[in-house]
Amino acid sequence: MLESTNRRLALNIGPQGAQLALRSGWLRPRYRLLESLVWQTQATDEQRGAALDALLLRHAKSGSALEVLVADLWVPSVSVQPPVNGAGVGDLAAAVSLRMGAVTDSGTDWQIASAPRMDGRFVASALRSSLMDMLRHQCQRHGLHLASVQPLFVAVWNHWHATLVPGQWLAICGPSAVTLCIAPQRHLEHLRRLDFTPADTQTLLWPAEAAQREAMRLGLPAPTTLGLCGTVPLAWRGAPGVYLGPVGDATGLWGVKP
Amino acid sequence: MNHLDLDFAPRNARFWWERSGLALRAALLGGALVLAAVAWCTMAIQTERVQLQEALARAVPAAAPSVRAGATLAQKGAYAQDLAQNKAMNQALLALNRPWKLLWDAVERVSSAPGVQVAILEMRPDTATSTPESGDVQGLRLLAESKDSAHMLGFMRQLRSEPFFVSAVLTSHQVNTQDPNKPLRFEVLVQWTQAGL
Repeated sequence: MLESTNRRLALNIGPQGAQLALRSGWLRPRYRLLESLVWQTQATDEQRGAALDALLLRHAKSGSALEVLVADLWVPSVSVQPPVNGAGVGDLAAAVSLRMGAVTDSGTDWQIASAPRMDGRFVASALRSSLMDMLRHQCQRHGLHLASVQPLFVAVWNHWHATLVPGQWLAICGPSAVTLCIAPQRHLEHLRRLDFTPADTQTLLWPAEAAQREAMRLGLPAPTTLGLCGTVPLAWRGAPGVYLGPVGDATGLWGVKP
Repeated sequence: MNHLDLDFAPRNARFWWERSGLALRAALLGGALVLAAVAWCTMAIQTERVQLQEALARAVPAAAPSVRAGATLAQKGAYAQDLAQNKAMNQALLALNRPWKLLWDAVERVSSAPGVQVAILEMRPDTATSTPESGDVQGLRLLAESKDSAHMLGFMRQLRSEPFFVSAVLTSHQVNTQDPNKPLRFEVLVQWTQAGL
């Protein structure tokens, strides 16, 4: 009975399109795809907003909660080193702003979110304010509660983190890129996005070699194992490592179901 | 590995409620139920205690202060003082409301009747019968002196024949030996009713 309660909408949004699903259940949430959208090439935020409006009009029930997962490509992320002798949250926020300024366009408004800590590196992400405003406006228009807006890598990490051990890295496979989640100790400290070509998907050891290169670049020990999840190319599944499961099925969604 | 708390959603009360898991919600609901049960039990115990105190006070009114749980000595003393004051106040009200004019006229009629030779020395209300609990019947004590017992008995007969009084009882009599005339001093209790007024 509990599994049929706690219903909420889940929206996956990215450069290619959006998918809306219905999530239900407490202990092991289940997702049922309601509808998918594909954006037109070079679509503006207004056009995306209009398409999303029509989508929510068909499926949204007023008062429901909406969880949004944003594609990593739309969420620039950086690794931030807390300042030496930093006194508090203000110093961390200043460090995040400084670091984020290097990877974001200064002509665009960005909303920044991070999981700061004083005793080590942490990850910060930015989301275009116009996109956030569009989501807020749609929620207000359809009487929804914006329960969460997270980058896809955060949802994937939070799904798998309990199964990982220190020294093991997580690789989220997409159609043309891999996002490496690197946690030398117990916290996610680095994110690296590596593009690959179709030829790379036929190379058995490409993920392991790419991970070793990144370890050398960051001055870290190479990962003991690499956990692959998402739409993992078939050739990579035979490589040494741990296969955690697909990011998604035909929906390409949620990414967090084994 | 640690959970990553990175979210762009506005952090209001609904945000934290939505993120609270089933265990937390169940704990909150359980806590609320326990609080409600404790409050209900407290109210029930308090009500029962008040009812018991009222029942005890009804059963033994005079002992009520002593059986009241937690009553201090000062409270018990104050309660006793209140009772005495109430009683005195009721007596005073009864004395004020007594029909003195009618009583005096009735006694005057009896003492001035032919053949009656007594001197009325004192008239005072009878506290034993003149109480709120005695109901309709009220009492009056007369202290009088006569020359001898024959005159005393004549006075008594006259009192009994007076329609205003419902009864007349000789309660005591004695000879005053210190007086050279040796008069007979006696006390009579007469009673009347409010209906006879």
